[in-house]
Amino acid sequence: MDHHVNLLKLRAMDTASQFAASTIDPKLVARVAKGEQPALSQLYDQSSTVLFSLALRILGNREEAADVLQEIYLDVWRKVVRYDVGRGTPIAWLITLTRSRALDRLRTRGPRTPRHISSSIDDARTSPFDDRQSDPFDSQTDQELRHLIREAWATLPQKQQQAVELAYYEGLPDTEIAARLNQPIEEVKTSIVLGMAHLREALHSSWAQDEAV
Amino acid sequence: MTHDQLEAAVPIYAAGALERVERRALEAHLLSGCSSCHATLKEYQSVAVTLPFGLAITPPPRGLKGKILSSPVPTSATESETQSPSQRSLQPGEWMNHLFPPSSPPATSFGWALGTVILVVLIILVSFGWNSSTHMAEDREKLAQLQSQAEETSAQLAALQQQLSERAELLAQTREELQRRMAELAEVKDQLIQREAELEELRALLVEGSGRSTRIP
Repeated sequence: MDHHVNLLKLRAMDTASQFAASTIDPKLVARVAKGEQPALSQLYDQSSTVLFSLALRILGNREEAADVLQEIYLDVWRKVVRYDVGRGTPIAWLITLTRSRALDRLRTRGPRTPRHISSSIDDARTSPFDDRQSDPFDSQTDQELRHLIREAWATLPQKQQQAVELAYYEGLPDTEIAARLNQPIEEVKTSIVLGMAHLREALHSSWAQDEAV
Repeated sequence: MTHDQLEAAVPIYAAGALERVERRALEAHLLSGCSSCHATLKEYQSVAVTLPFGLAITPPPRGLKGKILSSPVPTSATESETQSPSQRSLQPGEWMNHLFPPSSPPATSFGWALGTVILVVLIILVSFGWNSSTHMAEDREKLAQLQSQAEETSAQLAALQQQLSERAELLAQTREELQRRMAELAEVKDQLIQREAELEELRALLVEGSGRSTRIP
């Protein structure tokens, strides 16, 4: 709890939050749709790292992930896709778009070949990668969110991590996940429900703080 | 499926793992307007979009930003340049305010009417004082006329106020209805996206199936 209180204080003081992916201003997306290049540049700076990391996790290929990103930013700029404030935050919208486009690409590659299931979130925790140095736009606010989700993820049993990962990053339905993990379908469903519920509990405190701010 | 079963499937739906039949059942249930399932879904969707923040950070290739920014300027940009300043300042969500006339003009009209009544009363008082000594009988008659006019104006004002409150109520109802429709529309959009994904999947399966059938002698 103390950690969360500290997070709240840090968040309030975060002067770099204007660069955070998690706090993109809806007005910025509107300016991009109006064709303002500086707005597109800022939107890219704030969101491209998390979107690229997501596309790369799904596709496992840098060129393809870059293609997906290029397609998305240009579609936003050319108003092929439009942001609506009623559909959540700008980053939630962009993440949903990126996941959907990347999974579409993954599906058009042809028959799925079982991939090595790695706990990518856990990998990130143990990775020697220095977040701050690698991304100058990774703000304090995003770092706190990363810390929160990684911490919650790490406490999930491996079964739950695998089921959620196969669903979210590989777009597999529960029946295919069950076949992939060689588990009964009900067990897979339970794993996803429990895993998501645990993450929701962990994030609840963060949401409550955001509302309080 | 019962409500409890459907609600229990919401986290699986948000993670993107719900099978087609169950997904359709849940979507139909959501469309029926179940507010508790809607609220639960919103929370789990928030969880789902937070997952990528836990991934290992990988910045995009250096040249990608330049490539995107050097793409041709969208035609809409030039269109927006020529828009009036009021259109240029329109922000997301603000367009809804333009669907309905703002409520201030009727209030201003009311203010004007009230001002007129006060003015009429003042004129009455002034004229009463001015002619009090000489044309008493004549003035009394005029005063009675003016008073009756003032009463008429007051009655009109009351009717206007009544109309205004009725219109305000109607507007509030229409706004609520519109917001509800917007929420439904968003859900339908989500469904469309899901369906498109299904179609793609089916196409892939078809391609795969036709590939296999051609290999069979």
